[in-house]
Amino acid sequence: MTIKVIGIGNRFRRDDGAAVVALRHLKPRTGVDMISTSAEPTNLMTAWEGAEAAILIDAAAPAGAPGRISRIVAGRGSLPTESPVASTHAFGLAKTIDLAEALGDRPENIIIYAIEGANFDHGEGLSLPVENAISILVRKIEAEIEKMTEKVKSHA
Amino acid sequence: MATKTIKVDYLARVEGEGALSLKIRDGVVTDAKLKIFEPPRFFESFLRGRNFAEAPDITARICGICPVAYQMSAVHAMENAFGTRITDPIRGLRRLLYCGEWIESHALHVFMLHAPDFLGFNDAVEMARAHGDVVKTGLAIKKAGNAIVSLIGGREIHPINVRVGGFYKAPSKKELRALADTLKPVRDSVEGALKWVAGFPFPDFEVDYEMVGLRHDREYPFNEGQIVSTKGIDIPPTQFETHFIEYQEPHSTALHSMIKGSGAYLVGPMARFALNNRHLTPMAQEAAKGAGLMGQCTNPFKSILVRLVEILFAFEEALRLVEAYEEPDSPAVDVHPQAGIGYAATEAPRGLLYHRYEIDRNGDITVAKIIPPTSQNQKIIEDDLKGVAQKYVTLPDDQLKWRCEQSIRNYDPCISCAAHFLKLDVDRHARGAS
Repeated sequence: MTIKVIGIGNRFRRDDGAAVVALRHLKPRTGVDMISTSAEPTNLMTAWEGAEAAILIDAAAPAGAPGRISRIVAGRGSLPTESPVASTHAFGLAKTIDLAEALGDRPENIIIYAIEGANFDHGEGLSLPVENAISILVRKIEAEIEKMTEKVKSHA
Repeated sequence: MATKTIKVDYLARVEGEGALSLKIRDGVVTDAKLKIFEPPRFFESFLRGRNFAEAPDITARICGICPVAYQMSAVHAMENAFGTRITDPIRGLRRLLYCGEWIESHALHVFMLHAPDFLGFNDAVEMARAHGDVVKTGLAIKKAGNAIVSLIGGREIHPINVRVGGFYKAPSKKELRALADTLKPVRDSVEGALKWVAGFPFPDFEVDYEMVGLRHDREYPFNEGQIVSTKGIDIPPTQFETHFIEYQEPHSTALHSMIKGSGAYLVGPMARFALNNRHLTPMAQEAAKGAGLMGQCTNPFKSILVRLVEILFAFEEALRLVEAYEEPDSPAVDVHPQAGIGYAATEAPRGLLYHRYEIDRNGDITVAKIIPPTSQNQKIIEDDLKGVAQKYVTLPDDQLKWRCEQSIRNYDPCISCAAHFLKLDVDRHARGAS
């Protein structure tokens, strides 16, 4: 089973780069690819090509609790998507997963880890609450990978 | 008399935020307004005081879909002010970069935004469930465009490799050969997509437009040429502002444009095609004929066909440029800033993009003027809307709304560029009714 861990974000926009930072701290494993990309739909779909499971890491918009980590299982048709009338400027993650599903090109399992950001200004470096939450995020993703790998072994 | 008002909060699948209002009195469309309410972003103001070298990277941020166009008009305007002459390899790389952006932008609009209109789908996701192969083709085309812009521009959105005088880094011949290998199989899929789209049910709607665009004596234009129209204008970019004027309308945060003493005009793929189709490659010309496009296309609903012809051309042109490429001695020529005024017009995917800069002796910008294609097309979009709404005025409101939204999407308007999309408000308030 191929697992792809995909970090979405721009490290030159402060907390938007949280996923890129988290990727750097994950330990390399056989059968697990680590990919850093933008949320542009063709890039994202290329990034998870051939994967049976994908763990997506992305920064989430501020909602009063910077550093808060949310785990979202992207079941079929389960994510709240943008309006069907969205422009391509707003072709977001949920819509890309929807599109891939309609095309029969989505990994069977998609887990999203969203880390709430505080500062999305230009520049490198994370805000303190997000930086402090990176080690927790990394531990959660390592555990997620372990669980996925164990599941495969138990089915083997 | 019956009174009816139809209100739709947002017009879909355009770039940016705006609204449309129609006034219909006793079956007659009396007014059509494309309301652009996105707040202005003041790019022209905050360019003042910045160094000339910053203009390509700052103006690229005006749009995530067509940043190359902003970069190209900016660098050409600066070079015009300083008398800078670029080398042939740099000129070729700029055309190649522009090919990438046209492919990216047109593919996005054709397959994700516009095609669903003709088939009754709300969006590309719905269309993908019924026509998955076509959507996959569209995504592959877009990806090929991304590959060009990434290689030449440094990344596919907001490229970082463009500078006044050329580029920060020129690609190797080997890199371009590898790019060509990825482009060829995708180019071959464009003709099939064009044949599929040519079978769409196009409304019968022809307009006698004055079409404006660049014309070059040897090539289909990207970066250079005279500004010409289908009704006789033929001027260099330096004279743009003596023939075209911008004006404010209360319902729009984007300025409208018109030809002095004449009126509304059209820029974009249909204008380029009308003015330059003899410079398309034989394959693109044949494909256009096969799709029923001869000489001029004056049906705005068929702009989707012209975009596909331009995609095919851009692939072929990209492959030609790769074949002809010789690595330059230097990725950029020396630039010697001096006080002066620089003008440029290039062909953004959506049409003519004009820049003018006034530069002081330190190389700092004192005045910047940027006229994007969508603001130039605003008036003609409103004229089209009025015509389309009148033609289909007896349709039920939901169908009329659909047709009106579609006629706006004919223009692939980037409201974000113009100021910055769309709420539809149909007022059928009969005269004399309360």
